[in-house]
Amino acid sequence: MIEPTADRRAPISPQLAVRVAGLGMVAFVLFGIIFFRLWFLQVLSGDQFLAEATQNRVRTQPQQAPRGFIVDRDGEPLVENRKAIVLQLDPREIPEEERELAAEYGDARARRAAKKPQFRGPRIPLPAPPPALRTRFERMQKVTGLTVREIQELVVTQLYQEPFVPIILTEDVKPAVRNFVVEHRKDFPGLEVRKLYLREYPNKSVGAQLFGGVGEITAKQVGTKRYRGIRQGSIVGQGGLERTYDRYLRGQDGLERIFVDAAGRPIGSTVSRRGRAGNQLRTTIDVELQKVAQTALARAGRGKPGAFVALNPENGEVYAMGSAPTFDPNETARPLTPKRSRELYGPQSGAPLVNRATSSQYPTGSTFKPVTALAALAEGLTDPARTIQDNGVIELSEGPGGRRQNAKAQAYGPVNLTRSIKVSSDIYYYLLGQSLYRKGGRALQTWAKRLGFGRLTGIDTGAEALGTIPSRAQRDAQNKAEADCRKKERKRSCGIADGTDRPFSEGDNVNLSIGQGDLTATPLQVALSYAAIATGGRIPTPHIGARIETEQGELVQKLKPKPARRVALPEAGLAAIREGLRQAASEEDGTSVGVFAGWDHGRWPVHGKTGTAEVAATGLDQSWYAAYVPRTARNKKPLVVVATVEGGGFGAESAAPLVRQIFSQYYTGDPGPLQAVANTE
Amino acid sequence: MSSLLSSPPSQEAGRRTRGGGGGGAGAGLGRSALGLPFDWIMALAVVGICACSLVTLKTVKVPGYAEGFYFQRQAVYFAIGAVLALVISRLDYSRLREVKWGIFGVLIVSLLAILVFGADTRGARLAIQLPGFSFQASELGKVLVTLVLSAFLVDRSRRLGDRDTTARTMLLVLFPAALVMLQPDLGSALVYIAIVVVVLFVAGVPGRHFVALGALFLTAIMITLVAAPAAGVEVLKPYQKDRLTAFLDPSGDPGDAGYQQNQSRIAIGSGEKTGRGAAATQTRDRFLPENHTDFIPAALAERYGFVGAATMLSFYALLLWRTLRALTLSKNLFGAIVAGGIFAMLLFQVFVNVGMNLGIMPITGIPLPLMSYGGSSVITTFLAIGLLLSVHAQGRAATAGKGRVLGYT
Repeated sequence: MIEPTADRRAPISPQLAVRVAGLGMVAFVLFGIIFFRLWFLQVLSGDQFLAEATQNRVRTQPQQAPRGFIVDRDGEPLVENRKAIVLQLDPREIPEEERELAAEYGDARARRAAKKPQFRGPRIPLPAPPPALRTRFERMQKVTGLTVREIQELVVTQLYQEPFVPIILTEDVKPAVRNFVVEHRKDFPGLEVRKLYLREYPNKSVGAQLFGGVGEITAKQVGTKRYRGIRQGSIVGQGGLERTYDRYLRGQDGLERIFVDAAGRPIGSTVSRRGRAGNQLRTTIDVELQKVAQTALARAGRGKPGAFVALNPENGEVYAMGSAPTFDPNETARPLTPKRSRELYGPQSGAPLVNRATSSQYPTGSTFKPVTALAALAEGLTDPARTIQDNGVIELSEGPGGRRQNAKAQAYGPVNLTRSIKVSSDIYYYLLGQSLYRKGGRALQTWAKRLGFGRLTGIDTGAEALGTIPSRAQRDAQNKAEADCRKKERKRSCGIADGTDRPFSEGDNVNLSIGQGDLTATPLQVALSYAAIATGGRIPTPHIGARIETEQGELVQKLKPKPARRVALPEAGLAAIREGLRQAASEEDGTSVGVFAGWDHGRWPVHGKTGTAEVAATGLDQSWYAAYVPRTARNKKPLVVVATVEGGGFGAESAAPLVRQIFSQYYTGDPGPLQAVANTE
Repeated sequence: MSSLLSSPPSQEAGRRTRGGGGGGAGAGLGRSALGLPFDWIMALAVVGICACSLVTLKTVKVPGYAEGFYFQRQAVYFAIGAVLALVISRLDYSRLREVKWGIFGVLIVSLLAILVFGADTRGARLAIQLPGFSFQASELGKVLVTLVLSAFLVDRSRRLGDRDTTARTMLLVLFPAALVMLQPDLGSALVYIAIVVVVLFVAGVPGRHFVALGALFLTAIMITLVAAPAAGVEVLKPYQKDRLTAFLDPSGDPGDAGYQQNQSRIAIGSGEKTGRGAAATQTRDRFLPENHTDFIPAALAERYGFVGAATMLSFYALLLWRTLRALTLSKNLFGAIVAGGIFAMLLFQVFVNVGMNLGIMPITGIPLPLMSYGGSSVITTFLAIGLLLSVHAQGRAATAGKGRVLGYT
């Protein structure tokens, strides 16, 4: 054959053979590397990568357990749950810049709020969100239904208050919006959709201050004894009954394993741990009584702040307890606009969230008189038979302040122990206060403390005020604190004491004897002292939680309050005091007889004491009424009721009519008309 | 065309002679053409790789596409490619040397057309959208560059020792490589470079030229990565640089370039010895990106484990061995150089792609020949296979026909 082309060559030259061998070697080495690496990844460390692959697609998310209901003594719901789909912002997805803005803004506002109103200057403007965040907020406008400004306000305020708690932007999100957000997760970084159980209060403001709120566990609470084993992000009780009985109410959150794809979209889920719903708390509250009492307080107090408590003196069960002004907890259970939040929490709000029955301390006025009487009786300074002449005015000692008088300088003539309570003679108690002081010792203070003043009652709503019993030691400590504070703060006055360094004197003891001066107590403390009188010296631990039950109402556990405290009361004297209290409400000349006109005293003998406390700070009279209906042959349901209205005038003016309505509702099932009868003490 | 072709008269004569002696090979597929030897082992390797590809693509689901979309389209590409390869294997590749400038023209024009008419995808112009097919000129260029360079070197086969030859060859490849870089398609440009190096090597260029080229290359790298950025000139786009360096520390930035490689490693590792089968969540739930193109080996390795991945690699090893064998069998230098270029093209792509999947090479966007979904890549690879089969067939036929070197098979 003819040589076909000039390209023709020997099949393979030695040089080419070497080079081809070189290429083969290169290929061999490269394949060796690949095989070695493949073997290393798949065979040697495969299990580790398999674990990573599994982890890649599974996210564990707690599933909130429905919280137990709170029901009244008959099982009527007071606090329920409502399922809501909420849109919340993960605080970890918020840039540091925004955090700093929030901190600055919050600090500036706190500084401004600390100043006196006239020096505050202009409002602190809301900082604008950083540009990157702003575009995110703009995208969120449509799904949340909020403006960028509103989102920014929610974010900044919440970041300042609770920097690491998810920021709920909206609730009750529509399914279409929910799906949109889930599908477009990448467009909404940090925006999460969560199904939550929110608290619902079917009776609105009824008992509003008792329950307390629920909220995400705070950083401080995690790991504490009370919240052992609770994961970050769980909802726990943050006050009131919700907090006290949290471990029964909260149940156990479930765990859901969500399988996601690479875009983070959920593609399936399994329940890895089933949640357990919380148990139900049955309370001692009588919702009908509570409603009537709250309405009565609002009407009798004519919108003024006040409080009432109605409890069983024998076992301490609280049937009704309320405070005015009040609020609708349904509102505080959802995200509040800062404006609404100011209205609820701000200085102009009248502090509706405060339970004035346990957390506000007031001078008690004449409702304290039985305590003075018991102290004097025990000390042998008086006896039921002793009579004094009440001319309306008395000269206790020389000098200013030595001359004392009854309200309106009314003269009551000959007054014994029973009559002193019936007509509320101040003169009688001035003399007791004086002689108790002169005898030396702290008999009056000791008895006040025995009867529950200046002592926590142990009620299960928490947040109790202690109250004050004025005494030598207390006054000295107060003066010292004021002096120290002035020195340290270089202020002219710290407001702890008047700065005169006045020691505790006879005059102070005289003031104390009629429940004035520095004496302060909560309405609940007053109620317990009357419980002691009603039961003959037994002071129960007041409580609202009665028992823990399942959703269906089956008993899980009875809640046992602390055992009652016993006080030995002088018997003869006690009878005289009770008689005085009875006559005050039912016989002519009694301080509250007008209010109880037409009341069936034979069946439900009301024992009541009015009180009118002069409040130094406001110059207004605080109206008090403390009363009980004891257990008798015809009445098996004893009840103590105490009510007070700030600035409500004389005891019989506003507090007593309110108490009558509570009694009336409790015993007859009908509150009857509100009897506003002006009466003096 | 004739002005472009300045072939020496001897070649013209040779062609004519061979045309007569070949018994109508130039006229079409005559009886003798069909009777040419056929490399069944190489065909086995190719069929094996195609099977691996189809088996893997069968399981790939991409949202927005019907199930089996990629599987079906890839099968069609394989069919077209196989027919093309079979046709080419029956023709004499040597005649392509005559039209080398024509080929070069097609190469340059197609690359320029991409730059002008290309469809924008993710900031790059890589392909022209044709009806039912998007044409990636840089892929086809891999074979065209091999042919042009081989022909050019054969023409200068008597002056291979000249520095001039090496320099011109380099210039010849740098032009299309630069056009490809402009698209930008860094991966294909690197393949061109790999091809030219091996083509020069097989042609027999002296070793000192490679030393010089290596030094030049190192200098260029230094300028690109160190000097140019310092002077404020950006040669590589930031994302390209990220991708090139991410493999050094894949967990460093799990968001972007490192993320892909990390997910790929997890996918491969989790396949363990025998694979996860239907539970291959890395692929199924799309943690693994581009699991039908660049990261298809990881998808295969996750589903079928070390056994599957090793089988696939063995087919490639087989193919490369048969390529080297075709090189040694070649009846002429042109065939040897073409086979060498194709060997470089295949080996480079296999190593860089699989290495990228294994986390030992940077992400360069190089597909795995025949495995990765994509018409341009598949057709190009089949063209190359066809050429290899042709080199093998022609070489075997020439040896047999001449009765020389008997027993050398």
